[in-house]
Parts: sequence; structure tokens; C-alpha cells
Amino acid sequence: MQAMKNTIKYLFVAAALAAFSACDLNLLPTNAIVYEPGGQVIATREDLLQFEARIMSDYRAVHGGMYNIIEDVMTDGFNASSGFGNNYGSVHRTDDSFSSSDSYIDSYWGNHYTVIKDYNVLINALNDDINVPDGTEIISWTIQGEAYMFRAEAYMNLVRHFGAQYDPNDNGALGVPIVLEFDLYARPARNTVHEVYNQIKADLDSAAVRLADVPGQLQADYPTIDAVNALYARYYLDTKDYKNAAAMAGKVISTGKYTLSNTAAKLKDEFRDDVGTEAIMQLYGSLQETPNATSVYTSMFSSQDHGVCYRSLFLPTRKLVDSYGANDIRKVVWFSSTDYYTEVNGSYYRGDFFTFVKYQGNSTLYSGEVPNGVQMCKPFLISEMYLIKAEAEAMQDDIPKAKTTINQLQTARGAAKTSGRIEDIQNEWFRETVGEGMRWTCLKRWGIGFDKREAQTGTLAKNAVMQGDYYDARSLAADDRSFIWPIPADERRLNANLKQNPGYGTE
Amino acid sequence: MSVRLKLITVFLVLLQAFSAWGQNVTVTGVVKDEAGFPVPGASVFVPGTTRGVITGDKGQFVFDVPASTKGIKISCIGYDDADIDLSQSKLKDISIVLKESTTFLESAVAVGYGSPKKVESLVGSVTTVSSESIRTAPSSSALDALQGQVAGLAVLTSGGVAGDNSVSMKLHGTGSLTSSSTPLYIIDGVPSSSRSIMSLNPNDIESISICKDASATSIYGARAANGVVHIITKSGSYNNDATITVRSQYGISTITDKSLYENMMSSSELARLWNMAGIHSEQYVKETFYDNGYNADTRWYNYVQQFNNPQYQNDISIEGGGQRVAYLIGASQFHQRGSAIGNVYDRFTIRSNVQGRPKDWLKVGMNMSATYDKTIQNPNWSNSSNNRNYTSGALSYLTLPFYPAIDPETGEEYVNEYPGGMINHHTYMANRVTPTERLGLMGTAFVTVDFTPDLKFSSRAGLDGYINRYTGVMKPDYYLMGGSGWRSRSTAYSYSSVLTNTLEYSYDKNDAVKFSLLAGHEEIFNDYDAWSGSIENIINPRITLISSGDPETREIDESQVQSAFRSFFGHGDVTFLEKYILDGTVRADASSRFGASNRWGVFWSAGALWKAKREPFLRNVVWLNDLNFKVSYGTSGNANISDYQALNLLGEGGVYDGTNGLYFAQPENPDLSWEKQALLTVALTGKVLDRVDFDVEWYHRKTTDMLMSVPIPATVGFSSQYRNVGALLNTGVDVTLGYDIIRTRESFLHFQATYNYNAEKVLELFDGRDRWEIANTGVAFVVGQPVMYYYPIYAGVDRNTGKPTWYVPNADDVDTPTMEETTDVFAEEDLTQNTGYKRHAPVYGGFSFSGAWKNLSFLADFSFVLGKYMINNDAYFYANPNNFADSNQHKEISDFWTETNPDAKWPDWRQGTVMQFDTHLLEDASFLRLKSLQLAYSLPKSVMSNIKFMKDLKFTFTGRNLLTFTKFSGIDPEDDTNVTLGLPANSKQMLLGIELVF
Repeated sequence: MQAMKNTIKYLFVAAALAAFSACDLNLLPTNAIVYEPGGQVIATREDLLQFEARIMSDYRAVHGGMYNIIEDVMTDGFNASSGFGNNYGSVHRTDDSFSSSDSYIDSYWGNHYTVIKDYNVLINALNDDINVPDGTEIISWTIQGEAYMFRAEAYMNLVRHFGAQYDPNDNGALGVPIVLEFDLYARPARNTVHEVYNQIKADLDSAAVRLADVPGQLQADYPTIDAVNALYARYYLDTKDYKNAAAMAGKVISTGKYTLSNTAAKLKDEFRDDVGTEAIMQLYGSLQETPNATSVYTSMFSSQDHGVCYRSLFLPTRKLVDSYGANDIRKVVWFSSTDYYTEVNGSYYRGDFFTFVKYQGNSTLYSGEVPNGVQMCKPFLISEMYLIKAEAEAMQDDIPKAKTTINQLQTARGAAKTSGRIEDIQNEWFRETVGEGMRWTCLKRWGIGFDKREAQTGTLAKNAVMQGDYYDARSLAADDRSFIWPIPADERRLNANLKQNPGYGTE
Repeated sequence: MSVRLKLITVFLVLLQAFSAWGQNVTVTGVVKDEAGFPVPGASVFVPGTTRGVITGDKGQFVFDVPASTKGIKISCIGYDDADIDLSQSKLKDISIVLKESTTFLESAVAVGYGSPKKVESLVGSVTTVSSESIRTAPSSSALDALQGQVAGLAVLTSGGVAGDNSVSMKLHGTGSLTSSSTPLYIIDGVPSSSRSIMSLNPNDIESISICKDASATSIYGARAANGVVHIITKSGSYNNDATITVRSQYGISTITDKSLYENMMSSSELARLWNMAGIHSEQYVKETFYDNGYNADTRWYNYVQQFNNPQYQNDISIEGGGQRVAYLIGASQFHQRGSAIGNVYDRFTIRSNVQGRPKDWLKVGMNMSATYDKTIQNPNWSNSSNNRNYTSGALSYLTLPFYPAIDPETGEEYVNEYPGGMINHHTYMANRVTPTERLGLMGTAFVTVDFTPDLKFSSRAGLDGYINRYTGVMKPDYYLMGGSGWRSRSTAYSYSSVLTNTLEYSYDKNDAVKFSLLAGHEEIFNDYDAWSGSIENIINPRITLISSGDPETREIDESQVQSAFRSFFGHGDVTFLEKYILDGTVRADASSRFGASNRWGVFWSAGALWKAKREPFLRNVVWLNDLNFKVSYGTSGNANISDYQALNLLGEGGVYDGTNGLYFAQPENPDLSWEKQALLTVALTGKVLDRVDFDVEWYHRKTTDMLMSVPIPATVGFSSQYRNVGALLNTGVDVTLGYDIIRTRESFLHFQATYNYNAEKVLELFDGRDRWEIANTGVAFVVGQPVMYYYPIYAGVDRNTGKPTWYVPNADDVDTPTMEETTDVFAEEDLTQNTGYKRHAPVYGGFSFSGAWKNLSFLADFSFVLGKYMINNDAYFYANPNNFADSNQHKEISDFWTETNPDAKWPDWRQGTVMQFDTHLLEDASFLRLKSLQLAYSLPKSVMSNIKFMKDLKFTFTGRNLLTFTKFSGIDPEDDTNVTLGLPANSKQMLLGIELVF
């Protein structure tokens, strides 16, 4: 009997232990691929295509939106509206709060290095022939070229903002650290401006070789040789190699694939509906793959009593609005005072002042009836090539040639024809590239500041914008510290090798 | 001796006076326990009669009984009853030995894995909070009721969002700097979470035990470094008549404090300030506001928030048991509404705890509970997981008061939006349907086989799982949507399962040496699987499914993570002469989260308890009732990081033209392993003068190989990586005092206080650095210091210029501010220095008064936190008129510098001055709160005896957070954060209740 009882007991224990099934401790994620460091990163054709999709999406992520807004609201084209809620407040005022701890600056720096990491991994993974997936030799070569071009542009954006303006005679001025390989423990010091531009040139050359057989086409959604050449044009303009700058810009113009809109309707096609003739590249965008929104100028919403309205956080200054001639199609298409009401602080205005609507929103990129400030991302437009060419020609003192070039643009836009003098070309840059995130770089390149940001005419326009020393009365001297952005404080805390720029505290 | 015992004594003595006449004999004797110690307060009585006496201090008794008495019974809480057959026994100097009860629940505590241990012989430091403190609490989480109850346990509730799982708990300071410091939660033996505890009916909880020292926690090895919170749910008892308890509470809930809202400017005050400060002229105000008809003086909080919200909770439980089966079943309901419009939380629970002893060698049981809860939050307010500093909600008090809320045409509130753009929240929340529903299932089944009376095998399988369902709909006909609605859905399926097998041997046949041994094995598996989808462009408000929208806008996401833990453990304790107790544990744990070669961690502890009062030299010290000395040392681990952090990964991310991106997503760290903690605790507990209980504990808690999210320069391309770096030390003292102020026949008054002082010190950081200032937090880790606020130190307004000034840091050492030289140029990076204020409050505590008089009882629990500092980010908006010239401002800023007011608090606004993130925002957030106030009146027995079907009827009043004392000027001081932003204040409740027992 006792034996029987014990047997039952043991059966119970055995049953309990049977329920114990050992869990596997080698658990792997389902949303990622585990690989050995140092091994083949891109192992298959599918990997390769997905790596390409990543760098394309990275590239789109660092264009438009904040990357454009900062330069425009820092300078003389825009006033903060009195309902702007301190959005972009530090960069607009460039007061004490524009410091090394500024979050916009920190993001600009950090996001660029994050995409550079992806570009580096791709470039290096394909550098060694044995690591290229079988049968992908040709597309690998092209895709690597794309990464080189993107890396060149990323470093150009970084050095333009965090480094001193390129000076051929100053090879000691500091740029940004050049990182070409992934290294978790690297704490790089800043390279000089010259070194960074040399790296940009080397990457451009690598891209040019690899993309030589990718012909340009209107609105190309992947890099082409024309896009590489457009970037060369920027590079040469920055490095004051005006001859090559004019040549490269001219080369892109002379393809004839990209033409300037010369009527308001065409300009609207280009900028509102993104179906124009000016984009050397136009990245893929859709409702699911939304490019960065540039909504601060419009921030449209549906109001109770006034229908769809603008709620501008930034309004164009009097200087900007007044810079256009009576027949300029840009004024017609990019500025509006009557399309919709503009709401500022609870008041609704119509016909009282202009709102900047170049980035109102492409109707295929929002659902519903309220535009959201999203347009297709266009890293290079043909108009910039005319401006580069004209500026490069003017800087070579070839004023007549510059006049011809700039007049082509002016004619198309319905603007009064000017001379080819540099001042006139500078004004054309202001009118043409407003909102494209180039104003601050232009002022820096020209070595000029600005005098105040007067509001548009009229009491209502004045009431609609912020007033004060750092708002409408803000002037920026050509040597203001803000023409070289601070190295982010957090970055310097982690990397003692990084020197700070002048005016932002301890080096 | 407990109050209850004392009352029984009084009762019995009273009865004795009325006892029957007759011929008596006198019985005398002494009652002792197994160790030979006298047992005072035991009842000696004749079974079936009301005759009885109580033993004296030395266990002695003198009892006159009728000569016909056959036997007497001796009974005392904590011991098994003893029967003396007077026909077989002498009548004088009877020596009676009471055996300590093993089934007595209230003084026994289930710690670790073996049988419950008696509290008094427990080497480990465990504080148990009984159901009394928890059950009528009007909070959704039982954890909230622990505030101030347990010395060393810091409990803070972040805000008043109904249904927000916002209780932050830390035992003995912050154990880890960047990974979690949350204790290990265990419900009936199953590892769980604070969210699961929130889904429990607090009335189902029998006790919550907080395991504090290494002896108590090391058996849990994995994840026990931050202490263990062990919850036991109620169960029925064998051989007990069924009891039905019905409770119902109803009342109101509102916010603790509205004074910040009330101190915002009126229209005329704001217009005057703008004019005086040169921000906006009178003409501007006229043209922008008055001319448009905006000349109201609206207090926006009255429209954007709701106060005096109804709250109610009801529950029923039925418990009882027969010879072989005991059971408890219950159900409950809870409803709470938050101050943000549309915020509600509802919870329904059911529970069935059944245990049986079908054979004399077999025990089985199963506890099952199911919970459904539903939360709707207003997305314009912060909660414990999201900061939302939206002027449409949390910061709505910044809305300009000029705008009217009442439409002059209708005489009612504007339906969609008020002038100025503030949305009507009632309409908004009616068009935005966003419930989060959670169906929780918790269960444990166990079996215990007694091979011999001394050798037992136990097996327990448990599960804590849930399905979470979120539905978000914004209807297309809502005026802001422009005819295009959206919908988003997500579902999460998650469970944590555990299987534990233990073998336990106990030997207690010899009084000189007793011991028990336990060996066990445990497997834990966690699984989380979720998907989400969303769509836009839904046009018909009557059908709003995901399939109704525009497929072009469809987005889908999926995530899955799993983790597994395997453990082997052993425990032993030995007792010599009933007064020296030694205890030891060893546990080996492996976690899937760590590198393949660094998976195992071995943790151990050793402890000793000396029951000094049992020594001969103390036995006769009359004023000393009890004295114990404990010491323990041991190690435990922490694996509280997310999964797969050790691996080198390519991940998907970014999409281009329909192709998903693939990229280098995580660099490997094969060295990733357990965070380790060594804990030394020394404790002295006892009781003196028969009235004062004390418990003093000193601890030294050192964390090494800290799991830290180590920041990486952006140039590398990653922002952080988890590594085992750094060390942290917490030392402190816990004090618990209890004092019986009044103990009489009809009343008692008891005072209880807890206190903890914790000193924190960072010993080591990553990359060999001495200091790490965490970006945008105001907080720095500095070797040799506690976690400190490092921030520019505001030096006030320059009397001569009206500009704000800051102290220039000590050029040689920013850790030691000189506070001498000032500057009026703000540069965050350069001015950042040690503010001298600690991030983690060093002092937590509480005190309570409980008492009863006749049928009336009360409990008042206060809790306090001292030395708590917090950055009041809200003030950056409400006291910064140049930066927020489109926002209402606090009345206080009218006191600004002018030539005639050089001693003003605020700088000269006329110069365009902008307030910065500096110590003017860092405020003392110490507070004292009346956490709980409970009053109860039970109908007298004399009345109840006439109501045959009912055993007890009680009326209650419960209040929570009724009083707050603080210097903090923001919304609420209690949030456990460095930066408080956009939270609704904690809620306070007043509920009336009734409790019926049948």
C-alpha cells in the first residue's frame, strides 16, 4: 500500500517535471539580420537593393523641412509671426539662446553623421571585390557611386555650416571631422576646411566615374551624372574655382533636359504640383513615403468659420516681398494674400499682407482638403545652375557673360533684366531661391550681413509679426558669430578633441 | 501583544466576573513556547464556556474552574491550541508548551520559494503591508497605497491621468543610472509588472511584502537587485463558513491644486504688462483683440478641464472552505474620470482562488484572475510616458484670456473652436475615439507532494499575459479634418510564463538544531508580439474601418521580442537553540539578453539573526520585550534592458520607392552581461516598554558592472550602446517606529512612522571619465557625487542694468561652484556647473495615526519627501513674456526691473530679455501629503445580532491626497522626474462607502 502511494507521488513529480521544457536561450530578433563583424555585410542581391533603398531614404531624410527652414528664418527674408510659439525661435533670433546646446543645430549635425555612417558602410562593403554579391558587379558599381555622391553632399552641408568659409589662403581654418569608416571608439578631431573640401572632391570624383554612364533625366529619382555635375558646380563655387564652377553649371544647363518655367502656370506646375521641367533630381515621394514637410510658412488648417486657412509661423519680410517686379511670376505663384485667410493669434487676415506659399503642399502628398506643406524633394534645380554660372562669371569679372546668363533666368521669370554685376546676381539668388535653404550660405559666401527685417507695409502686417531687438529689428553683421554654427555641446562633452567655434564659449 | 489580543483579554476577564457560582478548584501553571520562553497573553479557558484567564508576563496563570471541569484549553495567536485533560494532569504548576503554528498566515510570510516563514525567525528583511492599508484606497493601483508605508521604499505617482500606469517605485535609492531601477514584482509566485498590479482589484490582495536585504532577495537572483515586491492574493480557509463581502464606494475626484491656474493674469493685467514691458502696445491690443470683439477675461482651465469628477468602485467576494477544499471568488468594478476632458478609466476584474488537499500528502491549487480595463486619454496632455506641452491641453492656461469662450450669438460655448483657435475639448473628444483596452489573464497552478512530513516537492506553473487593443479614430466630419478622417489600430499579445520546481527538506525534531534545505529550478519565458496599422482619408463618418480609407495611405508595422531566463538555486537555513539563525542562498541565472559567453551570473547571500531577547541575561529585563540583531550580505543581478542588445545587427528601416531599406542598425557587444549588486544590511529590531516597536536598518548597496546606455559621439553614427560600465553606491538607513499611545478596553490610538535617508554616490563612469552631463536634462553623473543637477546657476537681476545674470563657474573646477563672479551673457555650455541640488531626493518617509473608539475607527496616512528638486519646465512658458509674447503669463512677472524698481524679482522685459533654462526653473519639490484618510463606523454587535442574515455592516469615508504642503510653484511636486512638463496634477478623492458582510 505504501509502495503504491509512493508510486503515485513519483508519478505526480514526473508529470510536473515533464511540463518543464527548457527554453532556448539563443533568441534572435525577427526584425533584423545577425552577422559577424568583419564578415560580408551585403551578401545577396536583395541585400544590395535594400542597402540602396536605405541610402536613398537617408538622402531624402536630410533634405527639405528643417534643413531648408533654418537658413531662411535665420536671415532677412522672414519675420516670426506673433503666433509663432517660439518655433525656430533660437535660430531666428540668433540671440543667446542660439548656443552650442541648440537642438536644431544638434539635430543638423547628428543626422548628417548618422547618414554618413550608412554611406560609409555601403561604400566600404563594396570596396573589396570579393565582398560584392555575385552577379551584381555592375549595379554595385553604380550604387557605390550614389553613396559617394551623397557623402560628398553631406560633408559639404556640414562644412558650410560648422566650418569657416573656404579661403584658398587659409589652410588652417577648422571644418568638421572626416569619418570614412565605422569605428565605435573613434573620437576624431576637426579636419580643416581644406581637408574637408578635398575629401568632397575625392568623393565627387569617385561618384563621377561610377555614374558616368547614368545619363541625366528630368526629375531623376536616383543620382545621375547631371546631379554629380551640379554638385561639382556648388563645390567649385565654394572653393572659388570660378572657371570650373561656371563650366560645370554650364554643362548641366547645356544638356537641355531641364528648362526654366516661363509662365505662372508652368511655375505652378513645378512648385505646387511638382510636375515641372526644372528638377535635375526629384526624389520619390508618396503618401506613405512623405518627404519632410516645410510647413512653417503655411501650417494650414481647417477653421470653423473661415474654411481652410494659413497659420503662418513665419511671414515674408517687406524686403522680400518688395524685391519682385510687377510682372515677376514668382511673386504670383509663391506669395499669396488672398487665396485663403491667414490666421495669426486668433485674427483672420485676407488681402492685408503676403504669405509665402512656395511650399504649400502637393495635393498628391496629403489626404483631405488641408495642404500640409509637403512637396516633392528636389535636391537640384536648374535655376541654381544659372545662378552659379552667373555668379562664377561675375566673379571672374566677365560681367557681360554673367549678364547673359542671369538675364536668361530673369526673362523666364518675368523679372526686369539687370546687369551682370555681382550685386544684381546676389539679389536674383534672394528672389529665386527663397525657401530653398540657401540664403544664409549665400550671405556667408559673399561675406555680407543684413540690416533689420522690416515687416510688410501696414499696421495689420506689423501687428502680425513679432517685434523687438531680436525680431524685426534684428541686424546681422557679416562677421556675426552665427555665420559659423557652434559645435554641439553634447558632442564636445563626448569628444574632447573637438574645438568650439569662436563666440560660443570655451574652445 | 496586539491590540486585538488585548481586547480579547478584557473581554474574557469581563465575562469571568459574571461566571457561574459553584464550587471551584484553582489550577495554576506556566505557558511556554518550544524554546522555553514564556508566552504572555495566551488565553486559558474552559472549552464551551465563557470562563477564561490570560497568562501574565511570565506566562503564568491562576484559574479558578468548577470542580466538574474536565479540561482546559490554551490558545494564543501564532501557536497551535493546547488541551489539558485535568483528569490526567495535576492542578498546580502545570507546565504547558505551545507549539508554534505553521498555518498562521498573518505572522508568516512567503519569501523566496519554500514554505512560508515566520516573520520573527526570518533572517531577511521583509516588510509586509496588509490588506487593511490597501483595500479602500481610491487609486487604480494598489502600489499607490504603499507611499510612506515602508521605510526605504520610494513611491511616487506622476500625475492625475486616469488609467495611466504612473507609479514609480524605488527601494533604497536608484540602483542603476540608465537601466531600470524598478523592483521585481511577483504576484503569487509569478514575475509580473506594475501594469499587471494596476489591473488587480486591490481588495483581492492579502498582503504586499517588500523584500529589502540580500537574504530576502538573493533567492530571486535575476532582476532582484532593485528589491522584490511580492504580492499574495487572498485565499479562503479550510473548515470555514462561507463569508460574503460586498463593498461599494462612491465619491468625487478632482485635482489636488488649482492655484497655478488661478495665478495666471487676467486680460487687463496682461495688457498692462505687455504695454509696460514694451512687448505689445495698447494700440496693438486694441487692434488685434478688442476691435475683433475679443475683450473677454476667460479662465481657460474651466473650459479645457473638468473638476469634481464622479468616481465609484464596487466589489464582491465569497470565501470559505470545507475539509478538503477552500475557495475565494470575487469580482470588482472601478470607474475613474480624469481632469482632462474625455479621460476615463474603467476596470472589471474576476478572480477564483481555489486550493485543495485531496490526499494527506498532496496539496493542489489554482489562482486565476481576468481583468478587462479600458482607458481613454486626452492626447493633449502629458502622461507618464509622453511629454506633451501642448497649448491645446496641458498648457492651455497659456491661452490669451482676451478670447471669449461663450458665443454671444448662442449664449453657450463655441461648439468647435473658440476664437484664438483653442478647440472645444468636448467636441474634439467626441470625434476622436481612442480607447486602449486590455484583457489581462493571470494564473498560477501549483502542486505540493509530501514524500514524508519533512520532504516536499513543489511545482508551480504561472502565467501573466495580456492582449492590448488600441483603436484610434478621428472622424472625417470633425471640422479640423477637412473631410478626411484617419484610423489607427494596434494589438499587442504578450505573456510571461514561469515554471518552478522545488524540493524542500526540513528538520525540526531537535530543539538544539533545526534546519531546512531547498533546491530549485526555474524557467521564465517572455513573449511580446504586436502589430499596428493606420490609414488616412476616410470620408464617411459612419464607417471608419481601416479598410475604409485610402490604401495609398496605409501603414503597417510589426514587432516581436522574446527573452528567456534559466535559473538554478538553493537555500538553506539553520537554527541553533531557537536563537541563532543562519541563512544562505546561491542562485545561478542565465539570460538570453546577454552575449553567448557571458550569459550566466551567480548570485549568493549569507545572513544571520540573533534573537537576543532569548538569551538568559536579557530574559528578565522587563522593559525590553523583544530584541533582534540581523546582518546579511549578498549579491543579486539586473538584466532590465531591452532584448538583443548584445548582437551585431542589420535592421530594416527607411523605405524608398516601395523598397525597404537595410542598414547597419546595431554594433555588437558580446561582453554584455549582468549588472551586479552587493548589498550589506545590518538591522536591529525589537520592542520596548510593551508599547514601542522599532526597526532600524543600515544598508550599503553597491552596484557594479552597471548596465548603462553609454552615449557615443554622433560622428560614430550611433547615439548610444548598452555596456557594463560604472559603479554606484547607495548607503542609508531605514527607521520604522510604532507607538501604542492609547490601549484601553474601548479604544486604541497607534502612531507609526517610517523614515529613510539615502546617500547616493557615483563611483565610476564610462570611458574613464569623471563627469557626464546628459544633454537637455540638467542632470549630470559625476564621480564622487550623487546624481546632481548641473545647470547654469541663475544669479538674479543685476540691480544696475536690469539684466539677468548667472554665476561664472569656477574655472578650475565646475564641480565646486564659487558663486562669486557673475555675467549677463548666457552660454549654456560654459555656464553649466554643479548646482548643489540632488536629482534623487535623499529623504522619504511617512507617518500615520490609526485608532478606534467603540465602533468607530480611523486611519490617517501622511507621506513626505524631502530634498526633492525638479525643473519646472512649464514655468519656462508661463513666466517668459518675450519668448512667448502670444501667451498668457503668470501674475508674478509684473514685478520686473525698472529704474524705480531695482530690486524686482524678474529682469527688465523692456530689453527683450528672454528667460533661459537655468536654476530659476529648478525648484524645491519637497512635499508632505495626506495620502490617505479613512474613517469607518461598524454597526454595534448588539444591533447586528438582531439582523440574522448579516454579520457586519460598516460605513466608510475615504480620502486621498486631501492635503498637500509644498513650496513647489508648478502643477504638482510629486512627479518623479528631472523635468516636469505638461502633466495634469495628481488627483484627490473623497469617497463614501458601505461594506456588508453576510
